[in-house]
Amino acid sequence: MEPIVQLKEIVKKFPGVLANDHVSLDLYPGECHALVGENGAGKSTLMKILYGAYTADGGQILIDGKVHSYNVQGARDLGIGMVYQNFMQVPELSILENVILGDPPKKGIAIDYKQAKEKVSVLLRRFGLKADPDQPLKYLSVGERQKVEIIKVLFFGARILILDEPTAVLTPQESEELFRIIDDLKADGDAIVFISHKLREVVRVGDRITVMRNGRVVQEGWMRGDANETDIARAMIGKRDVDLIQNENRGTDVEPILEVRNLWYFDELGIAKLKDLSLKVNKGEILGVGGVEGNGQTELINTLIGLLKQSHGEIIIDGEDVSRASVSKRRAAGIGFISEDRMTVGLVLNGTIEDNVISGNEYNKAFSNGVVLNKDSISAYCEDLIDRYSIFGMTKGKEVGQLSGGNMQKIVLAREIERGPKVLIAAQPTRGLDIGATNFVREKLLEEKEKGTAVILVSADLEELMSLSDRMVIFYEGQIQGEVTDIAHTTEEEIGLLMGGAGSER
Amino acid sequence: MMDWISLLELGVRHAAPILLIAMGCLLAQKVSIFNLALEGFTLFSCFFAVVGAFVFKNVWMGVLCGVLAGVLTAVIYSVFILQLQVNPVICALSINTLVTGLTRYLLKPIFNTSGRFVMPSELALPTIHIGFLDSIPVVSVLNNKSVLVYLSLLLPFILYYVLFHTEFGLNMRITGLNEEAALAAGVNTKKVKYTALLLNGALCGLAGAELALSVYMFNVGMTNGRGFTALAAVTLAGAHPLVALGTCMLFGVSESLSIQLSTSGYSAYLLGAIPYAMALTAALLPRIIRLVSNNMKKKSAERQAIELHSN
Amino acid sequence: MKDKTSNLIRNLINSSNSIVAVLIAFLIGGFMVLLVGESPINAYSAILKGAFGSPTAIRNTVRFAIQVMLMAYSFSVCNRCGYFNISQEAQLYTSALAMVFVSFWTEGLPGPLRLVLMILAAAAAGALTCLIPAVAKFKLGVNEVVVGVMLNYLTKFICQHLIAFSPIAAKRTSSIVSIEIPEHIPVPVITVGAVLIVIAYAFILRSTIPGHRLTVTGKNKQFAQASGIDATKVLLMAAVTGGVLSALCCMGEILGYFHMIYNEFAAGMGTDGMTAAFIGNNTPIGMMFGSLLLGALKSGSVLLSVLTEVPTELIDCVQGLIMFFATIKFFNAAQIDLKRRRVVE
Repeated sequence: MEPIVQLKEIVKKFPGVLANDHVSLDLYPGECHALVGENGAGKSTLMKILYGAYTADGGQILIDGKVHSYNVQGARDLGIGMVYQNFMQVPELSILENVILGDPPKKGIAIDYKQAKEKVSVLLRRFGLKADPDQPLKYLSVGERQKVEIIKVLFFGARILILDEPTAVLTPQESEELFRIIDDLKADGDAIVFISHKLREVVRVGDRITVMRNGRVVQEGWMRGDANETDIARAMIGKRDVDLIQNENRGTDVEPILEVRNLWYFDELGIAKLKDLSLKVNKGEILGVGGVEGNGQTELINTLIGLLKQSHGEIIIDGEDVSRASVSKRRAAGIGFISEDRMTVGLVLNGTIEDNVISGNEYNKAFSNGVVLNKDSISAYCEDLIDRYSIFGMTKGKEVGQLSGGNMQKIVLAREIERGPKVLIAAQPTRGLDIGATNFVREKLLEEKEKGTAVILVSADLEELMSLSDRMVIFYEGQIQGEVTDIAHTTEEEIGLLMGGAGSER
Repeated sequence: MMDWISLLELGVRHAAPILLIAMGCLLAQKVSIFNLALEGFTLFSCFFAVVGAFVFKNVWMGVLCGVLAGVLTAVIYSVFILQLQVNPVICALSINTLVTGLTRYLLKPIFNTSGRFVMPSELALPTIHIGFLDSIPVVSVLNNKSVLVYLSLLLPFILYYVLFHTEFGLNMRITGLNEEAALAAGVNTKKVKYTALLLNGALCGLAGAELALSVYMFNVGMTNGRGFTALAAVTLAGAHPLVALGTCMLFGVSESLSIQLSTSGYSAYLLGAIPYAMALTAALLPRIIRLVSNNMKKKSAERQAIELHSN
Repeated sequence: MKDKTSNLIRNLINSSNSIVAVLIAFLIGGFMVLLVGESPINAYSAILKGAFGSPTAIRNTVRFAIQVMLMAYSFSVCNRCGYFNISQEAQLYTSALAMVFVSFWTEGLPGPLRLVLMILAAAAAGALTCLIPAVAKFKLGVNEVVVGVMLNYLTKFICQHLIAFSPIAAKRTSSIVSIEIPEHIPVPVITVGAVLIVIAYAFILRSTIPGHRLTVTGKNKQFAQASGIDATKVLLMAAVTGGVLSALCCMGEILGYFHMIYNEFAAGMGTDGMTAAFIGNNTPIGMMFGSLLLGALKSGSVLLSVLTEVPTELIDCVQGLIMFFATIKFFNAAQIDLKRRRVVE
């Protein structure tokens, strides 16, 4: 059979990142091709190139055997449709208007609403939606809105459908329904790309499975049955073969410093991101929080430090209930925070090291007299930090945004650790860093453990979690899917299963 | 007692330029550009409508020049904000300041006068007499108006049709509400925004022409805040063209009422404040109500979900 | 050492944007002068003479410069944290009304007490007026510009009504003004006061905790929040400061010069402040220069029509042009920085 789409050696660069590094991919009519990989592996970028939303810096796109280059409108004319990761919808407008946007049927200069309505009604019925096309979209449930996204693509006659993490917002039942729709579409001869990092689903729908990591295809076109969830997890995560610092002194006291009880958090769409979550972190312990990204880890961090208000539940630091306390009160109670997003949350890039270090700590006696800043003392303090944390390239008056990623992260570490936290929350602390900086961060985290700090390490890097944690919990859909206490005798594959929502507690 | 018929008649005439500006403003608002330069667009058009009519000795050339001046300012504005990414508010305010100064200044080199320039009355915008209207009570106030006034009354309906029944209208609405969604559907949103802004300029041009040519003169600052009144009318109308027809009419009548009041020694100022007070309420009140009700709804939904889980 | 020079260069690049904008504006202004058959040199020297040629001229320049500067600071303190303070004229109207009403109601109280009450009332009125759009923006998500513009017109009409038809209306005159208030502040006190405010503003911004928090919140709100700074509180405090600065400007004008409320006295004052803020790139010193420039233009315009045939509106045009061009980044310090780095690499 001839492939309907051939992507050949696609290259896409973003400032500082090689998002797609000579990626090739084939799609066949009547098949569902699952594209798997961690966040940032380059799946969405590749698909936006196929949909014409991005232009590739290199490579070719062949549709029906012919080379094409096009924008979004051109892609739609070729029969390519994409369902984005987040809804591309206007909730205030009617279902009909949302669906026909881009290619409305016309009668003269006017939109032929009658014809459009008939066509949309047929599609709605086919997807089991009882809604009236003229009804505003906002009254539909999240699952129904996801269906409308697919209807949008079918409405203009797409035969190549890209579904970018379509199940991220769906319940298991809704997902199952979606898979039946995918089967239907395949029967009609449509080609489907299904992007996900939920392994169970990938095995369920993928006739062909391709795994991407760091902008490259690491596993090309497994056929259905060639790979199980474990194989996919292994390919997704990969192995690092360099010497990184390990936690040599596992095991801890049982003296909880941080306690979380029955935590609930709902996002703006009303979806529960944390479901009745409880956990404890002990003194001198590194608790590794694993799981595929987007399963509640970010929400846990943000509710802990006070950036999000939990809907229900308690947070207790060293006996002190901080459930309703502000960010600054929680910091005073002993929370330290290394953000996963150091470019926007962790640092103020267009500020100096002084700005970064003293913010939120201005009332410290070393920094001010309560009103006026003591600039000399602050400078001296920062000089000392630059020295002790070996922050290279930092000179007076320079903005921290001009430093390398590793040196930026050292400033974050310096600022948080020097405050002497009781609980240190480290989110993706080594992401994007080179080996040297990674080891520096690891060393500092282990030092904190030795000092008796309770450390929460949230990371997408399984190797990192397994080499640093004393104990691990794996998140799945806002709940703890499993806890791992004996890390030395657990394999990555077993954890991979927990991450995919399968497996049980060890 | 006041004469209601003449009040209404005057109201229609006052409403016409506000309506034209408001329809332009509405187009910009639909693509989510909050245009504060309406005053500048219109004042520039007033001036060049008079220049055109005077130089070519033809009132229609005046209208054309007015429209061109409106489009020209709109081109400058849109290039600055869409291409050079200048803050739209600052850009709009500087256009307003510049146009105010420029139109005052240019009176000297062009007409060798200052403050105002009055043309011969032959260059007034002609009014149209529709015989049968006279016989209908109240509706007769619509008679003897210039073609631009009739156009302004028709425009809300045209715009309604364009916005809700054509592809361009749909593209415009979605561009304004969620630009990413429009881009994802292959809509060239930049083109949509340019078109909306240039139409906005042209409509302000017509408003300027109507303002200046109906009285065949240019007067410094003759727009007198109408751009902002139009903005208030559109805000109050929730950017719906037919509702905006109503709010513009309301403001037109209130303007003529305030003129009648001030000649009889009453305070007309509070009447002038009404459009802005109403627009302010319209902008704030629904948000406050929605904020409170959404909060309550969300809380109760969450409580239900939690209870369901624990059972 | 090397970084210190590059910092200096960056500041120079930033200010050169404004200098280029001003030069272009004057150049175009020059052509406009030619249009009325006058010599640009004559016109500009007339302005210069009008601004600095005599003690009276200098006094006027200083007066206008102070007025513009306080408005510029009021705009800038809000702009630093992303709040577009467009309701400045409303702040002027409400604080003026507050002063005159307090003066009217407290007749019989000792003079100094009345003055203090008036000042407090004006500051409170300015702050509250500035807070309305700020709360709308930060709490309700309503565009602060919509609210600000509507407030400007609303307060303008209310002020007109009150000075025409209320106890504070001056009934004897034909023009629309309020009653005259007996309280005065001598002009030298106002001048010294303004200088003190400038110094205090620069000091607070650079060397105190609130100033630091404002700067950091303005640069990166998410970072500030995660660091334990209550960003919303900082933003609302900035709005209060902006309102008080507008009120101070109003106090200077009314207590020092007008002693009553003139019809539409605030018209254009907000735009002046905004222009100066943009010329000065939001830095305290830069804004001082910007205000001085606009103040000189204002007071210089008097002689323009006396000494030449050029209409005084030239000043408005030049100011509009400055504002227009000051928004364009002719030179982008960040980009130039990047280029330099690339060359080094």
